[in-house]
Formats: sequence, structure tokens, C-alpha cells
Amino acid sequence: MYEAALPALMVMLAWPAPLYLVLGTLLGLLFGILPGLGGPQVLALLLPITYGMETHLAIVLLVGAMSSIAFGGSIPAILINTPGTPQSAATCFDGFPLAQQGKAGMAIGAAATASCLGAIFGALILTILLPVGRYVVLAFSYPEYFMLALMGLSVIAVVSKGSLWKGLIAACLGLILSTIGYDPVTGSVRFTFGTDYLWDGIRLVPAFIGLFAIGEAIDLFLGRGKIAQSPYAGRIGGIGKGIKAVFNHFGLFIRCSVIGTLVGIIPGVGGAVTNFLAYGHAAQASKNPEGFGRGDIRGVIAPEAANDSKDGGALVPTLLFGIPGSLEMAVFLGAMIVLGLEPGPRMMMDRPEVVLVLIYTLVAGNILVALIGIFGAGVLVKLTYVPSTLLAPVIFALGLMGAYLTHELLADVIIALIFGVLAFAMKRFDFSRIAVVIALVLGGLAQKTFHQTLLLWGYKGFFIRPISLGLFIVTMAMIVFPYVRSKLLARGEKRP
Amino acid sequence: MAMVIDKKWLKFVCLSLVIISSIWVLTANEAAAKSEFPSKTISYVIPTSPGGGFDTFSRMIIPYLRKYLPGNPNIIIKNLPGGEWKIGINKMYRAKPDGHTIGILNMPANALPQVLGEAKYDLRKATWLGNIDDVTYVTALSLKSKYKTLEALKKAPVVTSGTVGLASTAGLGTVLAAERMGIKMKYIPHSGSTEAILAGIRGDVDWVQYPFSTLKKSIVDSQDLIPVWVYSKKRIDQIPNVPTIAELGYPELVDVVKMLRPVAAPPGLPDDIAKIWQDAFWKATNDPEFQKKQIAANASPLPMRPQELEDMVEGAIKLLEQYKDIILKHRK
Amino acid sequence: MSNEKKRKHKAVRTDVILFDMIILCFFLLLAVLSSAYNPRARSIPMALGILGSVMMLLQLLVDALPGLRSKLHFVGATGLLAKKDSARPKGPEKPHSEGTPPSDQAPPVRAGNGLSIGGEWWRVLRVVVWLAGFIVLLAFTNYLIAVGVFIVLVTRFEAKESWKRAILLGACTNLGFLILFELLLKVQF
Repeated sequence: MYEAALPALMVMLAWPAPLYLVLGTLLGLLFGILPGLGGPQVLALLLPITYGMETHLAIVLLVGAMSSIAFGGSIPAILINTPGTPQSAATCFDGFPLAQQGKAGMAIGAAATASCLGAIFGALILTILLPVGRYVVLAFSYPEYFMLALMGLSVIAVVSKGSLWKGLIAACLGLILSTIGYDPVTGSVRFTFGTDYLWDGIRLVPAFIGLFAIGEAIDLFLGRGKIAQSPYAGRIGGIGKGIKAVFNHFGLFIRCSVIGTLVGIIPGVGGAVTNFLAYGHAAQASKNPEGFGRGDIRGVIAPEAANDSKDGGALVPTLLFGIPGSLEMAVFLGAMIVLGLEPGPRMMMDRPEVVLVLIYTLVAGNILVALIGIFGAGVLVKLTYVPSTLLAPVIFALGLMGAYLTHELLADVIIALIFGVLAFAMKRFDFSRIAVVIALVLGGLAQKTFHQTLLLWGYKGFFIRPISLGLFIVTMAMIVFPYVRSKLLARGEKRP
Repeated sequence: MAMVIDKKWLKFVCLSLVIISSIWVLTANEAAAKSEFPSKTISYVIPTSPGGGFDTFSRMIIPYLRKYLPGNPNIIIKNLPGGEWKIGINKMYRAKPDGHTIGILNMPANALPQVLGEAKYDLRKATWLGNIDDVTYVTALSLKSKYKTLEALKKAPVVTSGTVGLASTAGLGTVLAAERMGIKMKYIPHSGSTEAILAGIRGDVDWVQYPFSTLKKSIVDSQDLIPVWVYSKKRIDQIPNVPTIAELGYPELVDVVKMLRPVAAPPGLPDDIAKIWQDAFWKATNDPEFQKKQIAANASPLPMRPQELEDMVEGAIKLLEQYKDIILKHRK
Repeated sequence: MSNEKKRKHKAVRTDVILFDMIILCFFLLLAVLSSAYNPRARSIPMALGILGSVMMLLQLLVDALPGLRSKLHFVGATGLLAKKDSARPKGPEKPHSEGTPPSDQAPPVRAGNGLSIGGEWWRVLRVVVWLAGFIVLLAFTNYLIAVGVFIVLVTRFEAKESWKRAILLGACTNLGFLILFELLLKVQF
């Protein structure tokens, strides 16, 4: 496959490929930014345009669009506390506080850099790992998925600011909400109150729009201030600081890129999980975790590195097995079939140049969008200085429209509104929204894989498999370790 | 951010309003212009998320539909997943029956909610336009499974299968096949065929039963799974050594374990418009270029006339009525 | 506690209690509903419902009767990341709408806006009604009209901005949405 490396590069540099790259990247960026629209939508939009196009150009266009979504979603996460796509949710936790402190430029700079380098990392791993990726994909089964979900859920304990009790209640709420709908495991339909809409449970996109955009906009509107509370903290310096921060915390960056790539390789876990895991890891592994949630730049670097490297990882099962590693990949697979390609084991042998163009575009698109982000940050940052009374109504309209546009269902908009009110109330009463979000996202996966494991192997299934057991131990350590350390520190302080 | 000069802003506001209203008027005009069909953009409802077989083949046929419809109208796809196809199907049913909204369906699976009394739609009332392809199912066993033949499966104390909810064709098909053949089956549910197939490749389950186009990569391109029989009247060319289920003694299962991709318009479509659509579909599904593309994507074209479709619907409903009790038993 | 502080405390707690009760009822409702499902299907929702109810009940008690707080101190225990919160007022369940900054690091987003608790919730209700109105408009008219009308009216009547600003914002947003969404839709030919 590697002999096609140079010819594939030539293909990418030949006009009009670069034009398509730019077009695709810009479009993907736009869809990433708009809450409610994301990967599947932009691909669906571009597909008809690719009819009759040369295969390579079509790939450049499509993959270019896919590559900029992850970073695109982070921009509103940082600026208005609304993830443009669910996979950027964790970026809100520290990105928005940074914007509030007038450091939006720094956050965007860090996000852009982490995203870009993370994507390159993921692509590198993809290229190296393809020969052995098979074993990684096949090593993960139901118990391992459960342990991953459990690990993600344990992040709640680590990042719950304020009352842990309330954090747990919020988690319970998220978990019980995740049981709504048809459960394939038990064959029963729960809590749908007779509607078809709730059959698939609470849909993530409108719930996220509600929890983040609407909830935040209500707060903003009532607050009558601006998003950025502190004076303008220096534009260029801010961005540069952000870029440098990634290198200052390079170890963290690498670890989170690894997490992202690995989780991306495992099909079906999804982007929304990756960024929580990375964030949780960053918080729990640091010596001074109190800063997280208050504007710690590491809280931006971690999820951003992970959600970009996961794209590279997601290509592994997609290309090796023809099994999509994520939702975007599923759409992309469909696109490839319509283009006449046949993703799967044969593609790497029959059409290696297509695979390579794909990888190159992924990298190039990410670099491009990171540059756009860095140079455009100055303009974007100005948003945080708009009076909230003018900004909030627009966010309301944008958020609710985003919820509506996904499927033209009013029910989605209503869900967004309900979750918006819930989010605002939770904020007022100090219940952790993060807990609800994580529980809602992971609840379904955890329950399903729990039942699947029990059906096949019983309880021992979780502990006799090495990876599953290992993940369990790590999760327990993640929960216990910070607690132990704080106790030791406290004891250390007491001694004279 | 102070508002600087009043006059300037006022001009800008007026200009914006003018632009907005003129665009508004223009788009309104477009709709009122022609009254013959098709007079505006057509919506094609796909009740699944983008990327699956239904979505892929719908996108493939659209250029051909446009070719054979008068005036080369614009056709936009609307993915509306949810509620096990019910949300998308209901949306199509409720649309104005003027020919500008159609939708793809999944038969016989979509008949199940109707038979169980859970559906608001009545498949008998839809205006059937055509069929895209006929999906052949294959049963494959994991390489790591202890069992390699039908005989072994029948004798086994228990066989685990990776299914996707028993209300789908794949799930239902597995249940009925197991019951007919006397196989003691344990069902391990998954949320999608991808997940279930992966479980088969890993060896966590013995049996997977899915469309050939989905399984091909694992049974032809690589040998991660071993096909044991196909649910069709003839053997599949690409796996010539795999017997049909009829050869193994269960021909009736061919009618049960199948999937068609028909397209319909809302009930009450005027006859003249229906005819335009049906002709367009017949020509499109018989178009040699389109059929070539389908075959390249491992699908079997199966154009169908409206009457055949109506008979098929009737047959599907009757079939599922027969198996209603078994299904409910597994639904608990 | 002085009388004034007592009053503030009481006023603070009514909405907290109300919220606690709503969530408690929600958990109980789902726990009860889940009993109708088959044993395997009900196991997790029922367990969660009961657990959530119990935890919420304790929280409710602690919020309603401050004397209990010392006895059930685990209910108020801070999480693993909240070590350096000594700057915060005691009892993290107290809502911050009264204007006390949570810590020296984070800016006071939820700073006092000069409203009483009741006043603020009344405003929230009005905002929700506006949003519901937007949804209704969306259901019956074109989305552009809904967006334009919503923004103009909300900016004018809730945000108390001038008509000029309201209409300008509405027009700009409409223009933006128009370009964005019509362009995107029209690209599909």
C-alpha cells in the first residue's frame, strides 16, 4: 500500500483538488459550528454534488468536510457554551470559563492546535496500525465496552464540583432518562407514553442543544452582562499562549490523543464518549485538579486532542472491516458505495491510492481548519463582548432552529426547550449538568453491554477477561486515587 | 458596540427588509407558478439514518428518477429515522398527496407494527410506486464457533445468535428459522447489524443472519465468517458452494427471510400523478446503467409493478399474522 | 440568626425545596411506572428510580431543615475537585443567584442582577413562554417569520431594547439564517 503514497500525494496537489479541499473544509466547519448540524448532515448534503465527479475529488470534498467538524464544534463550545456537535461537549467545561475570563483567544488557539496535532497523530497511528488494527478491534467485546462506559461514568465522580451527592443524583437522573425507549436487550418499550418519538429514547442532539445552548442563553439573558466578564485579555498574545500551552502539556496531549485513537478504533463507542474520557483522565491525572471547570487550559487540550484523533482511529474498522467506527463513518461508507467504491478488506489492496488520499485529506483538512481558527479567532472572540441581551435571542433562535433542522420534527425543539429549562434550574440549584450529560450519553451503552455480558457469560465475564479486568482496575483507581491523595495531603499538612 | 449613525443603520435595515421580502416573494412565486406535476421540489423520505442500505440505494436511484420524470425535478432526501421506521413512514403518509412527497419502506418488516396494532399507518392504503431491490439473506457462522453445519446446529445444546431486536426482518428471520429447524437458540441482542456481525467475527456468538451485501466483506472478501446457507431460490454467484435453504429442506423460509425496498406515496394520490410516478419508477429500476450499479454494490435489482407490490403487501401482512404469537412470545 | 437573615434564608429555600420536590416526584413516578414492565426490563429503571428518590429525599430534608445538615454531612460533602473552595459560602446547596461569587478564580457569572428570587423566576417563566411561542410560530409559519418575529419581540419587550435595535437584530439574524439555510438547501439539486 505504501508504494501508492507518492502518486496519491500528486493527486491531492493537482488542481482542482485543493479547491475542493478548501470548499469541503469550510462547509464542514460551518456545519460543525452550527448546533444541530454535523457530520451526517454535511455528508448527506454533499453526496448529490459528488455524482459524476472523479472519485478522488469526491473523496477530497467529503473527507475535507468530515475533518473540520470536530474543531468546528469546539468554537461555539468555547464562545457560547454550546457544543456545535455532541463530541465537543467536554470542551465547554473549561473553554467557556476561559471565554468568560476574556481568554477566548487562548482557548481557541489551544483547541485549534490540539485538534490539528491530534488529527495528525490519529492519522499516523492509523497508517501504522492498519496491519495490526484487526487485533485491537477484535479484542474489545461486551465486557470491555461496559468497562469503558463505566470509566466514562466514573468521570462524574472526578469532575463534580460542589456537592458530590447532587452530582450523583444528577447522574441518576441522566441514567434513568437513558432508559427511555425501546430496549433491544429486554425487548420492552419503556417510558414512551405511547409516542413513536420517544421510541429511540431522548435524542442526544436536541438534548445537548437544550442543556447547553438554551440553558446558557437563559442565564445569559437574565444576567444582562456580556459573556466575557474580565477585560479584554490581549488578542494575539492569547492565541499564541494557547498554542504554546499544547506543547507545555505535551505529555497530556499525547495521552489524550492515544485515548481518542483507541476509543475511535473501537466501533460503536462514539465521539461523545471520547471527549469525556479524555477530560476525566486529564482532571484525575493532574496534581491540581481544582482548576478544572474553571478555565484550566488542560480541560480544553484534553478533549480536543481526543475528538480529533478519534477520526483517524475510526477509519481503522471502517477500512479494515467495512464496519463503521462512528456515525460519520457510517454515512461516509454509504457515500463510498454510491461512488462505486467498496470499503472493506479488499479496498486497501485494490485501491490503495483512495485510502491514502483519504488519510492525506484528513490531515490537510485539519491543518487548514486549525489555521482558519487561529487567524479567525480574533474576529470570533469579539462575539464574547456582545451584550447578552442581543446575543441571547440569537442563540435561542439558532439553537431551536438547529434542533428543528436535524429532522424537521417539532418534538426535537420541544425536547430542547425542556432540557434548556432543566439545565437552567440545575445551574441555579448547583446540580451538575456534566453528570446528566455523561450519564445520558453512556447510560444506554452501559446497560446494553451489561446485559449482553450477563447473557453470555454471567457476572464472571467482567473479570476473567484481561482487558476488561484491567479497565475495571483503572476505573477504580481513577475514582479512589484523588480521594486518597487528598487525604494524604491533608494528613501531611497537619503534621508540623 | 455603540450604534453609530442613525441614518446609515436605518438604510441598512430598510435594505435588509427589502432583500428579505423580495426573496420571500420570489420563492413563493416559484411554488404557485405551475400546477402540473411535478411543479416544485420533491421530498424523498428515508426513515433511516444516512449511510445504510436503504439510504445508499435511494441516493443511487434518484438521478434515474429525475431522468424519467417530466421536467427533471429536484428531489431532496429527508432522512427521518426513529421509532422503528414509524416516524418517517407517518411523515410520508401525512404529506399532501400531490406527488411531491414519497418514501421508501422496508418490507415485510414495516408490516409488523401494523399487525401488532402499533402503527398509525395502513400499508394497504399507500400508493405503491415501485421496488428497488430484493435483499437476499445469508446465514453465516463464526469461524470460532463449534458448529459448522445445519446438522451440528440442530444437535447443539444451545446456539447463540447475534440479533438486532426481534421486530426486524433479520431478527424475526432468525427466530422463525430456529423454530422451524428445531434449533435451540439463545438470542444475544445488539443495537445494529454492524455490532452483531462484529460479535460474530469475534466469536462471541455463533450465528449471524444478514443481507448478503452486508456480509459479503466478511464471507467473500475475507473469511471471517462461514456462510452456511442462503435464503433464495438460486445460489448466489459469488458463493456458489453455499446451498439454498430450499435445498436443505425448508423452502418456505425463503418467503419469510427476505427484504424488499419498495417506494410509496401517500394514500389518495390522484391516478394521473400515480401513473407518472409508476412509469418513472418502472423505467428507472429497469435502466441497465442503474442495474449495473446495483449489482456492483452486491444488490439484486427487482423491479415490481404496482399490482405486484399490492399483492406483496397483502402477503406480508398475512404472513406476519401467522407468526404473531411467536413474535409476541419473544417480545414478552 | 437575625430576622433579616432568616427571611433571606427562607426566601432562598422555597425554590430549592420546590425543585427538589419536582425531581423527587419524577424519580418516584418513573419507579412506579417501571413496575409494569417485565422483571428484566424493570430492574434498572426501578433501581435508579428508588435510589434517586431516596437520595433526593435526603437532599430535600437537608435543604428544608438546616439542623439536619450536620447530622447528614455526607449530603453536603463537596466533590473531589472542590478542595480550594474555602472562599465559597458554607452549604453548597445554596443557589448563587443572590450574588455571592463562587470562588476567586471564576468570574461571577451568576452575579446578582438586582432581582429577588421570585422576580428572577418570573422572568424565566416569561422567557420560556416566549420560547414556546417561537415553537408555535415555527409549527404554523415559515421559519424565517418565526425567527424574525421572535427576535424582534423578545429583544424589544424582554431585553427592553429600542425598536431600532430590535428590528435591526431581527433583520440581521433573518438575513444570516436566510443565506445560511436557503443557500445550504438550494445547493442540493
